[in-house]
Parts: sequence; C-alpha cells; structure tokens
Amino acid sequence: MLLKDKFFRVEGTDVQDAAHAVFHVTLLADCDCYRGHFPGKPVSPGVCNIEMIKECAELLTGKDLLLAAVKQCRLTAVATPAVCPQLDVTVTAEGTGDGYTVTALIADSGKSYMEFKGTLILNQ
Amino acid sequence: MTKEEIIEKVNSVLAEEFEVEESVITPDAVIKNALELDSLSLVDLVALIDQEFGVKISNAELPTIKTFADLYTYIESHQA
Amino acid sequence: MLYEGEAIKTLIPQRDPIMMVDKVWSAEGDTAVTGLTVTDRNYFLEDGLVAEPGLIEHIAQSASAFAGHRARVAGQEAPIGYIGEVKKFRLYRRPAVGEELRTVITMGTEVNGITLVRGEVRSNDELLAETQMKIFCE
Repeated sequence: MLLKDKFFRVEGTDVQDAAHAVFHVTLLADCDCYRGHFPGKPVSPGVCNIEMIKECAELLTGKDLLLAAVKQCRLTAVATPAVCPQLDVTVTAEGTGDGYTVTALIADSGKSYMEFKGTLILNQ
Repeated sequence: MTKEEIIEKVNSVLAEEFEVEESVITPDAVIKNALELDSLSLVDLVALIDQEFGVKISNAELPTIKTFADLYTYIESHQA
Repeated sequence: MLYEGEAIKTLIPQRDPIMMVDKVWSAEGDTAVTGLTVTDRNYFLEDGLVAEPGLIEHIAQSASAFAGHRARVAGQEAPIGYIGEVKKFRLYRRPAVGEELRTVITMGTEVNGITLVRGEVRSNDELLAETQMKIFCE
C-alpha cells in the first residue's frame, strides 16, 4: 500500500460485517508529503485522504483494488495532522461482481472531512 | 423555447442531476431547499443551466433566483 | 511552452516531493494544456505506475497552475486553491515511468469563489483519466 504507515496508521478497527467497518487512524505528521504540501504549512492532501479510503477498503475486503470511478467526493473541511490527528474512516463496500461500490466518511468527533462515493474494482 | 418547454426541461434535468423526485419541484418551492443545495452543488446548478439552455446566471443575479418560478422566468428572458 | 521546471513554482504552492505538474504548454481563454513527465521519483508511484490519487492531484495542480498563470497576467499573486469536490472521475489506465502526460484543463462556471474545472489526462492521445472538480480559491 502506498500510504499506510507513511501518511496514516491504523490504530484499531471495528468490523461490523464483511461490508462495513470503521478504521481508527492516526495522521502521521512526519509524512514527507508535508514538506511540499505546503512548505511551513502542513495540510493533508485531499487526494491522500482518498487513497486512505481506498486502502481501508482494501483492508476491509482483503483485495487489491483500483479506484475506477468517483461518483462524488466532497472535501468538507481542511484536514491537517495538527487539527485532526485522530480520525475515523467509516467504509461500506458492497460487492458488485468485479469490484465494490464504496461509500466512506472521514470524520472525528467534531466534524467530517471527506464524504466519498465511488467504484473500486479488482486490480488484475 | 416556450415557457412550458423550459419548465419541463428544467424539472427533468434537475431531478436527474440532484436525484430528487420531480414532484418536489413546484413553481413556488425554494430551489435550495427542494434540491438540498449547498455552496458546492449550487455551482452544479448554475453550470447545468448554462449547459442545457446556454443561459449564464451571474453571481450578482443569482440571489434574486429563489424559487423554481424565478428560475423559469430567468431562463425564458435570457435565452438566446 | 509557457512555463517549465522551476518556473512552475511561480504558479503553484506545492513543492517536492509532491509537485505533480512540470510544464504549462498553453493557456488561452478558458483552456490550458499542462504536462508531467512520470519519473521514478514520482510520489504516487506504485509498482511502476502512478496511482489514481496521483492523477487527481495532477489535474488539481494543473488547474492551480492555470489559475496562477491567469493571476500573474492580471498582475496578482497566485491564489492557493483547495479541492472542494471531485466528481465523475474515471480511470482508464495508470501511466508508467517515462510516459509524458498531457492534460487539458477547462475552467467552467464560477459561483462565489468556487470554480468548476474539467480535466482530461492523456498520454500519446490515449485518454488515461478524466474528472470534474470544484476548487475553492483563497
């Protein structure tokens, strides 16, 4: 995985069933992406949060997945490792045969940072 | 386009884009509430009207369009 | 060619290791053409291919570079843009090291500081990915 244990670390997982889980993650402030995004003003790149959702969906399904389509992904607040070091990534992955319809929410107790709806397919 | 044609087309394209039943789109309904618009989806609404009718709603005029009736009238008076 | 290499830094705030645009070929009206050569140092490289979020970031930074160019032409500071929404993204193929991406950015409707942007990423005329996004400028 591209960003697991580099941009984020999974501290715990509440698996409800095969299609639903909540991943409790820490944003890692020493990730090298912050050197460039932005110098002196670390802001978690929105696309890294999208990748984090993809990797959590991979952990949930146990499959290597590709982000084939994003129906809609809203970045509802600016995330940084200082503002929101602890986040919950709630993932629902409904199987469709060749992949999954995934909805996900990145949030902490205060607010939500990303709402995602998309299609992940098996990476073959 | 006649007013009737505008109304029919607006209702169908908005219902599809914003995934609402056409029945929630009535002339007196407030657009923002009926379509559950926020600042991001408001951009989709303005882009869709431009794309479908060639009518550009300016930032200055946008606040004057509150209900669907306001929108039909705006499109009717600004169409090419 | 309008900008290349170091000159891109006058347009966008991102820096290494996460700079995802290295050329602006043209900018006219509402359309700009940008580029990126995929190197083995690309931040989003996985198994020799640029992962999907890297393509989205490339489109976002391309739009940001276009906005930065427009601001410069108008004699203003380059704005910092944030992605507000990604919509209708489609991946067709991930590019490999050595490929030269060429991306068409179209600026669309702007409402209260939020701009609708379309981006299409190609390599040798093959469409690799496309998306709409909304960008907030501050």
